[in-house]
Amino acid sequence: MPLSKRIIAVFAMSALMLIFCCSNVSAESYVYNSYKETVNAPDVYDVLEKITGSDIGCGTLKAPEDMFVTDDGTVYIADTGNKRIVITDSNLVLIKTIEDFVMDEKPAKIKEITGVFVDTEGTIYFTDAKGGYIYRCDENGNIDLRLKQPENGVFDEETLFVPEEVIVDRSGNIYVKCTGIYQGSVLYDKNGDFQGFFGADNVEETQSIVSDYFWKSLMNDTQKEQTARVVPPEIRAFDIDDEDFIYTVTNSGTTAGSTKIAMDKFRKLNPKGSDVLINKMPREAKMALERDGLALAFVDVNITSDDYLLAVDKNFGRIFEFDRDMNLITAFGSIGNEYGTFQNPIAIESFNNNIYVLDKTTCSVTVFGLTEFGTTIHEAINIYNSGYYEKAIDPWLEVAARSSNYELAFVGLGNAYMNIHDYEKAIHYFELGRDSEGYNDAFIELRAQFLRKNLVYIVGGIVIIAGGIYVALHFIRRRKKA
Amino acid sequence: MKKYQYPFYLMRHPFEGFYEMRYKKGASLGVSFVILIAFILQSIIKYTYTGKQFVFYDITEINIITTAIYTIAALLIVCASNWAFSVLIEGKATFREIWILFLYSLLPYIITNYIYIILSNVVTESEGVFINVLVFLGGAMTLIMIINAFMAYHEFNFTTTLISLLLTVLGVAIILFLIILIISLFQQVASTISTIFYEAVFRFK
Repeated sequence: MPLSKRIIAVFAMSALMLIFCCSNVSAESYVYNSYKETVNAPDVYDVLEKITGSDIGCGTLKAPEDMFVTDDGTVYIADTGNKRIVITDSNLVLIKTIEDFVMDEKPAKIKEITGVFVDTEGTIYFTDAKGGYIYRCDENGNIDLRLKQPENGVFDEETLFVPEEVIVDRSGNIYVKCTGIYQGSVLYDKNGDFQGFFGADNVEETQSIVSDYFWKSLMNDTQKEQTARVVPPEIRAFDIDDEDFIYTVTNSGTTAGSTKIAMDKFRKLNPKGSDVLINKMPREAKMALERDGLALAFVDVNITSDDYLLAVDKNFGRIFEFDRDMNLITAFGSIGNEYGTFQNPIAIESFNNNIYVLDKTTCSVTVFGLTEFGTTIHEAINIYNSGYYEKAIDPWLEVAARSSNYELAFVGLGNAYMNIHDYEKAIHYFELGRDSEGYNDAFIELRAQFLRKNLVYIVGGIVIIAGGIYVALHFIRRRKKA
Repeated sequence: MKKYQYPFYLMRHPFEGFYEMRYKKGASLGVSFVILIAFILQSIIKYTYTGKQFVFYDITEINIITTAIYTIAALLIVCASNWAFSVLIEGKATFREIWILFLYSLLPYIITNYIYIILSNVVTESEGVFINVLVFLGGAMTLIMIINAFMAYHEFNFTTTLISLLLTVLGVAIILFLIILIISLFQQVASTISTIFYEAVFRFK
């Protein structure tokens, strides 16, 4: 090769190598494909920064237990070890801290600040797990409501009232998650009156539970008292969206000998307490997630303003993002010491397409932002869900161009083409995305179209062939007789 | 009747057809191999040509050779188990005849599977229930033909045939267990020899 070409080749190679040198440190992201495998996909989220207490400007946080980000980006951190609430803006720059709480003109003794929630007007609700109280205060620490355990006989010496997390709906009703309570969340109205329990889970009817039920019907009362009770699992964390739907996450564990599976872990409760979550994930991908979900232990869940469900798990430090139909967008994160990994993730929140994860052991908040790939995916999903099906085709094509492992892009394209009635393209993309249900829908339409066009010829052909066979047999019989 | 017409004759007359085939000595090994090839072909074609609205197979996991070997091995094991147990109940069929009988009886199942593969390309998911029924009927026909074949060739009565079928299934389980045992024993021997080898190599270095 002549010298000039060699020099150009060397520069090109070193330029290529430089690209790898300046790649961002990020955890490897993956998705599930319909062969029940996890496949690598480009990162949907990138680490933006990792902020400790000293970066915020309030001194180190000490074992913080909860975090809440309001719709305008104000971050409230329950700094449990230091018994204060730290308030920052969305860039995690300190606004103020609340350390002294005042109730009825006297300083209030708060034993611990465990969970925190802020409503749209800035009223702060927090729980005190050690003391067994739930407080409502304003941003200066003036408490105007203190709730204690309800006196209906559920809580006694055996069942302690340990309120851990709190959420509040738009009418001011207060939902409190207490440890060890299987009847659901404790519900108070906005004046503090106990209203009952909300949203108990269902016991999964496995074979062992059904056989237990049969044997119990034959026992007398003293024997029944000695057998183990079958109760639904308690929820681990919950979040509320702006339409007052409550999203809960439950850990899989053993309930009377049965093991709950992962996708049941997420529930979307309507105000009546029934689960209305629809799951459109392809069957094989769902089974793979359930299989791996047994090793996961979700600790917090968050619903973003665009209706994406985020969940963080503490066994592997994994963050999952699902869209409205429970399709898995991405899974990333791990346990470790780098940026983008955690030691003990305990809370997850979101604001403006950024994810905030609170780590209890390193006392830091890691902020993730969307990558270009992630922005295109979110754009495609949001456009499709708003009803502009044809406009969603270009973003999905871009996503598919970047990663052929990302089957959701092909399924999204198939759905988009189905909605604009272009069935040939739809069936082509469903085949690429290996979605047999979508393929079936497109196939029904294509077959109907084909029959509509060609039914005349098909029936005519059958009549002619049948007639021809009849005539031929007639002639063969005549020749045989002769 | 020519030898290659017997399988279709047996499908039309499953009850007396086997007696007729036995006394006219119409059982042919060559025809059974043709049916075997059709069976293997059907197992392979199922992966690529069933309609996509039912199931998406992983194309990278399709292996023609192992599918063919598993099919042939399964048939051999079933025949061997049946032959071994029928000796105990005084059955009178030879191994060759048992092999031919199993393959002739599988013909309805094979044909309905081909129909399934063809129809699955023009049928939707909800209508797919009906073509599944077809395959099930093919399997039922196979079972009827096997029972009659045993009654004709082994000269069992009906109860003894059912018992021999159960014993055959038991025999298949025993044979598979023995195969697994042998393979794991081979693995143990191989790992012992290789451990000794590596010990020697590392000590004398």
